[in-house]
Amino acid sequence: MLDVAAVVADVRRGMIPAHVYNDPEIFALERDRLFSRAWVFLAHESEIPEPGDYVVRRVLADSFIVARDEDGTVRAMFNMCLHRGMQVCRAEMGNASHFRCPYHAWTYRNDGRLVGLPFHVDAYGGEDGFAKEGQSLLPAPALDVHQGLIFISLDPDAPPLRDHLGDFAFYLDLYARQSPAGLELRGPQRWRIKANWKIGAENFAGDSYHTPHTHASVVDIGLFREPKANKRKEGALYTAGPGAGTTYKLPPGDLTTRLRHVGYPDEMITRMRGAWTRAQRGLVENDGFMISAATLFPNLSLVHNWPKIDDSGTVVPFISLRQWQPVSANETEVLSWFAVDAAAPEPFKRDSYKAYVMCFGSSGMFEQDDVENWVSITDVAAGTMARRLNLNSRMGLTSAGKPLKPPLAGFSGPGTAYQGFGEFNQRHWLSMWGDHLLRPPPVHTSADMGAAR
Amino acid sequence: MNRSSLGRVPVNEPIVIANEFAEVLVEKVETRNGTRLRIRAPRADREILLCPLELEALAGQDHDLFSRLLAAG
Repeated sequence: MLDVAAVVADVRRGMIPAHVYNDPEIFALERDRLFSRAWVFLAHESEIPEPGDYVVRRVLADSFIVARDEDGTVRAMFNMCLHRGMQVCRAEMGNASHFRCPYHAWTYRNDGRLVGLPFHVDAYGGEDGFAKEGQSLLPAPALDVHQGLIFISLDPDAPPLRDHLGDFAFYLDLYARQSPAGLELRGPQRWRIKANWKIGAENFAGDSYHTPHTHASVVDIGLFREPKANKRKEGALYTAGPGAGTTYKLPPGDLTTRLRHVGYPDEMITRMRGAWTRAQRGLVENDGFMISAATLFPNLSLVHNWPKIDDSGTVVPFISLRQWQPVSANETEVLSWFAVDAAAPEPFKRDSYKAYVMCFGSSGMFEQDDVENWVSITDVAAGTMARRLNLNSRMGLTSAGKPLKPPLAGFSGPGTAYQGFGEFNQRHWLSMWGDHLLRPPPVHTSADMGAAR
Repeated sequence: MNRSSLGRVPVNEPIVIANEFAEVLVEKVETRNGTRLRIRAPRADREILLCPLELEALAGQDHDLFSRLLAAG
């Protein structure tokens, strides 16, 4: 019998019971207590730019149609026909003014309203037997958008998304708002790995320590010059609100020089200068840190790297969004998007996409390196010995629990930042995870569809 | 000239408009004295030839009209 309080207490000491990375009981708690409440990323507005555009996305087993209706309103609707529960949309993306269930041809507007069911009068006696008026596909209990990123929560009492994002919005916007045009996304590539979903989320939140070793071959072949251990440990790790991330230390220079160093053309630098706040600019210009990987709790990660894309050494940056979509205790569906400033010049978008594909996505080198580790961890975490082992996640702390070094003074961003290696960020992520696991599931009500009112 | 028995001549290859719910072929057809837009739905075995006046009327509709049409199945 799982003692969740004991598990969370261990995690709060920085000791992680290894079985949490492959434990059906833990997974059930994550489903019922975490994903039933947390704000979860579903899609970006640039994936559904026109009326009728839709994509189908999931939160664990719950499928949602994310659509822009004819009035331009973005909606997320539970993809389950009100009649027999068939998935109304089966294609992953499309454009439609109406959705029609394949089973009995019940038809819905793209805002979710039920407009017709065959033989309504003959089969149901009309409105008396099935009150069609006012029925619609179940909306996501809460939906909110930040910088075009569409999130839902299964908890109708979720706090406003912006309140939830808190100080992490400062960092999120460095990725998502390089100009007022915001991001445009391509993809996602979607594939499954036999790994627990938490491992990727924690890795992107703060594991700068794995980069020099796991990704050594990336440096060896000259794809990316930065992950060398000496460079990586100069970076800052920050925690802020529900997020945490890693940075690289840049060579000396002003904002323009440093953004050129990572490969941005001058016209994009001009727009970044205008779009970013003084403090956001200060992170790069005064502190000399450039954002790299990050995770927004629970399962959306971001990455910004600047590999060499050709033999002549051209360095081009890219942004990727990735989601660790839990399938089971030992399987995760990875969704990986390429993201780029919508106002970027076309040649930059092309080169940046190339940089992304070389590093991330199902064939990317970083991705291949990482996943081998994560599958192996998950595999061995299923056994009985894993229940006797508490993994050490205390990097950066003394035995008394004090940081080895004080937080960075004068860091331009909000939250807390440390320079060098440490597992502050993973502990921050796991602390939020523990908070959720200890809370009882949110209370919800059921809705009768078409019954007498 | 490859004139059909009904005197309708497609002007170009049909445009295919499809999503996961339906598939139609749309083409401009010339009659002896004018033009129509033909919409064919092979899966539903339906076809309609719309004249400019009908199309003008259609262009003035909103999606409520189609909700009513689709409600009948």
